[in-house]
Amino acid sequence: MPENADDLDEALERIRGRVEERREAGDYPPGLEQQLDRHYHHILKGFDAEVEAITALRLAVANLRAQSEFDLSRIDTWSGNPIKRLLLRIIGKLTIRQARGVLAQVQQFSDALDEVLASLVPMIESLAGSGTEGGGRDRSDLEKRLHTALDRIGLLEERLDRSLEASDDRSV
Amino acid sequence: MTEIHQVLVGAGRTDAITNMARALREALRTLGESEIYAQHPAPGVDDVFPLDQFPLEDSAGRTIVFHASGGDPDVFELLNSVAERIVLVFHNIAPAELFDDVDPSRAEMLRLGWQELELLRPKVCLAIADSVHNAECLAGVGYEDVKVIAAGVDAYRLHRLTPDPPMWHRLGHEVHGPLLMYVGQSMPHKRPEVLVQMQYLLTRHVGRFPSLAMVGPPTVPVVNAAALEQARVLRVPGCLFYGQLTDAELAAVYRRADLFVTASMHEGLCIPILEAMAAGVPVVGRAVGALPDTVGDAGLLLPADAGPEMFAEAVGELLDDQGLRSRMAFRGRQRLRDFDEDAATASFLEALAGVV
Repeated sequence: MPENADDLDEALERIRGRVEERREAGDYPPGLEQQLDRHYHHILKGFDAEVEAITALRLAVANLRAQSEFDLSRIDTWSGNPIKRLLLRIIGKLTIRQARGVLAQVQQFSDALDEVLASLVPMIESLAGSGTEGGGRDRSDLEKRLHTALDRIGLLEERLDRSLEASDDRSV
Repeated sequence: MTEIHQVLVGAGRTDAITNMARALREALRTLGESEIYAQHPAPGVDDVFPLDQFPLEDSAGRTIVFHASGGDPDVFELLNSVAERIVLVFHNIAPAELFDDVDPSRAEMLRLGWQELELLRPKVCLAIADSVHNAECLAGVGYEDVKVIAAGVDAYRLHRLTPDPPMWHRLGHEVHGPLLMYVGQSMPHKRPEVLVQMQYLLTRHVGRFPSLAMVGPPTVPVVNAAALEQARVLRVPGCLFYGQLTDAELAAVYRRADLFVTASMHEGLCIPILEAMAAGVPVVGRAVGALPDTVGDAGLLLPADAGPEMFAEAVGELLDDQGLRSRMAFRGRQRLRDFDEDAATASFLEALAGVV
């Protein structure tokens, strides 16, 4: 096994010293690491497949949100070939109006979709909860609301398709 | 015509073992026909054949290269019935006891993996481990003369790629301050929760506000889901759970990262660390498994029992010391000379020529 370089050994000593200092100063209260570990395992034990799916859904919605800021600057126009690069820039300038129009529509759609998803996630969470507690009537009511929300997404998608088609026609 | 196929238990689009097998396939095709077969190819993996398509005819004298990283009765059955000789490439097997609570069936497969290794031993004509640590583990189940060759490892694979522009833009939008990154499958021995707890201490107790990017496929989804939930409950800022990324997206994360941090308790080689070194990103981890051999003096290795407090202080120390980070990055690139892909492939083919 290769030996650590001296600077790494020294760094390790400083790290050890600082952990001790913080423990002594009470910045790291006694048992903090064990408490954090117990907390994690408590969460882990409480996870069943349904909760796991909801967390994954929440993560997916958060990821979707993070990617839903549409901007012209996100369209890559760089190329290793200078002629292609110039051509891409010219095309970008010529079609900037259309690109902005499409982006505005996509942003509008994304905002509406975000609203729908934001209302769906707690609904699905309650559905999962009512499933485990046997809340049949609540569940049926929530299912109706869920279907309504899904219908709304379908309508929004149709509207977006129509707008994009119209925009294509105009640009042609 | 020589026919040397490779067999894997699982295959993914971007996982390390499948990538190693892909690189070896190119080398093996210089000798004859060579394909990769896996019992569990992930959706979208179209260059690996399902194991049930393995050509069963003309098996006399056949040599199979088997990449061992876990057990599977169907794979074992095929190897036992079809292969006359096996070239074993051992990537180590994760500790089963850590999976007992979260994924009992996987735990069982991991235990089975060790048993199958012992049962296959009479057919193994050449045993290769991709690290000294893995060779020692293999010797522990009775294998002799294990060769250490990290064949098929291309540490600079991602470094050569153009980082994905949307991912680069996304990082610009989401990352505040220095970026700590981790890459690994969501599995209990990788201990992603320690990194979340480290981030909690950094932001609450140490007064540092880096971002923490967690990257990797959800192999045991509950592990990362619980870590994410802990981050949410404790309101830990800056935790970015990206899940599985494409190579170009991952290249963007490596390009943006300031430190690679792993709290893994068990590593057979750890390709993401080699990729971090190729990207000039200093590494912080625990001195466990193969990590001391892989990292050498290019990374800061904490004791095997280091907890989030020590990780938080280590990150603080390195973020404060640009000089040390630069020296580590430099040593990382030097260290990678020991993982030269062409030399390893040549050693692999030479070892193979001695038995085929």
